Amino acid sequence: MRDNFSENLVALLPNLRRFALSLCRRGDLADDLVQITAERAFAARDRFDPASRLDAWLFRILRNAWIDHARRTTTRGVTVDIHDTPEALVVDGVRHTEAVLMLRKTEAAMAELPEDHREVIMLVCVEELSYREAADVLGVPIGTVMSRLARARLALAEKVGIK
Amino acid sequence: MGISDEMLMAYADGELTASEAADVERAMAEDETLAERAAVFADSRTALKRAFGAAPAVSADLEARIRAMAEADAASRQAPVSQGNVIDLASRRRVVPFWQMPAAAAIALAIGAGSVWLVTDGGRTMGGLEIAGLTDPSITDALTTLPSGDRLDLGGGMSLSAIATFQDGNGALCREFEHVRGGADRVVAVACRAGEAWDIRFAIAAAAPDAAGYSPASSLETLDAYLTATEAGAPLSAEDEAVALGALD
Repeated sequence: MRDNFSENLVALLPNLRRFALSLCRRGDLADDLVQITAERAFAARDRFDPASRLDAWLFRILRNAWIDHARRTTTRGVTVDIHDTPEALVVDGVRHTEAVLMLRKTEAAMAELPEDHREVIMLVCVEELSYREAADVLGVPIGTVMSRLARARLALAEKVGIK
Repeated sequence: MGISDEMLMAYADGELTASEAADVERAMAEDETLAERAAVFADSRTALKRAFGAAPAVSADLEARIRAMAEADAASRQAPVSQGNVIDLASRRRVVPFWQMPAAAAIALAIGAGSVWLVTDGGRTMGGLEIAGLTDPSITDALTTLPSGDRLDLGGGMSLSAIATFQDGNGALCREFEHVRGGADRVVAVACRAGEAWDIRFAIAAAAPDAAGYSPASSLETLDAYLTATEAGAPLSAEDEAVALGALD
């Protein structure tokens, strides 16, 4: 019998790490958070509702692990850009300069946003969770997700120059 | 009707019901600025999707560690029936370091060591149940003065780290702190101000940080549950904390 839970979890590792990186902005810590998330997920897998989205459930675990960590850590290491491997962005070398510029601006704008804005943007716009699912991950009412997300996207659009 | 930014965004994200969407479309037909604003929301999402694209793969090392966890998990689930409820600790131990054990396991361990205290009645009914060392005046002084994030050496191999200051659901000023004795004996506790004194409201023996100083997160879920149950507010900022503590003297 294939173990779908484990396979799906492994398939989501890149998304988990990217979300972790958007929260903590440190590659080594992002790896730790992903590992802690996987440990907790296996320990609690019987509580996962297969009718719901596994990624949303894992994002919630990861975010709680991050809050635990942040609450106890006052000194931060070196923070890196939201992509810890900037060279990975230059995929084919033929990408139009303007497009690259736009990507860089978007990344830079994300890095400038406060954490609560960054995380809601990552969950909805990048990981494509619904407002309801994002609200469950963040443990806030759906109205809070909407107002935060609207403010975050208007701020981002302004920084990037979207009109 | 007035169309809020949230409505326009939800329209752009396809989160509205058909009748709500029809309302927004009617309003946009009459007011071009609304349509432009909806487009800003749609464009911001497109820009983000493009900027982030597919998530980059994780390191082979991390993936291998998590595959090992999956195998240990599968092995524990397919254990022969004759083993009944015996948990295969050995196979778990290889992949799950002590300090990352799930909360339930960490708590079971603490109970085994006879060192869990839960005091929920304002400390008044503690009776003979005293938390060794935490009634020391040097500790109560530290609670009144030590800023969160700082660590104070109490001598005798003991130290106290202030973690956070917050108000509980009743408005009492509370402090979360860690008390370490001899490097490994670590107690995470919450004390709240009652009159002129600090009352210990919660204390739990926690796994010690590992050699790299990484605090175990999962063993603290019990604390989170306690904080939630007492409706603890968000931690005060450094400035607010200084004001609140200063007012105690």
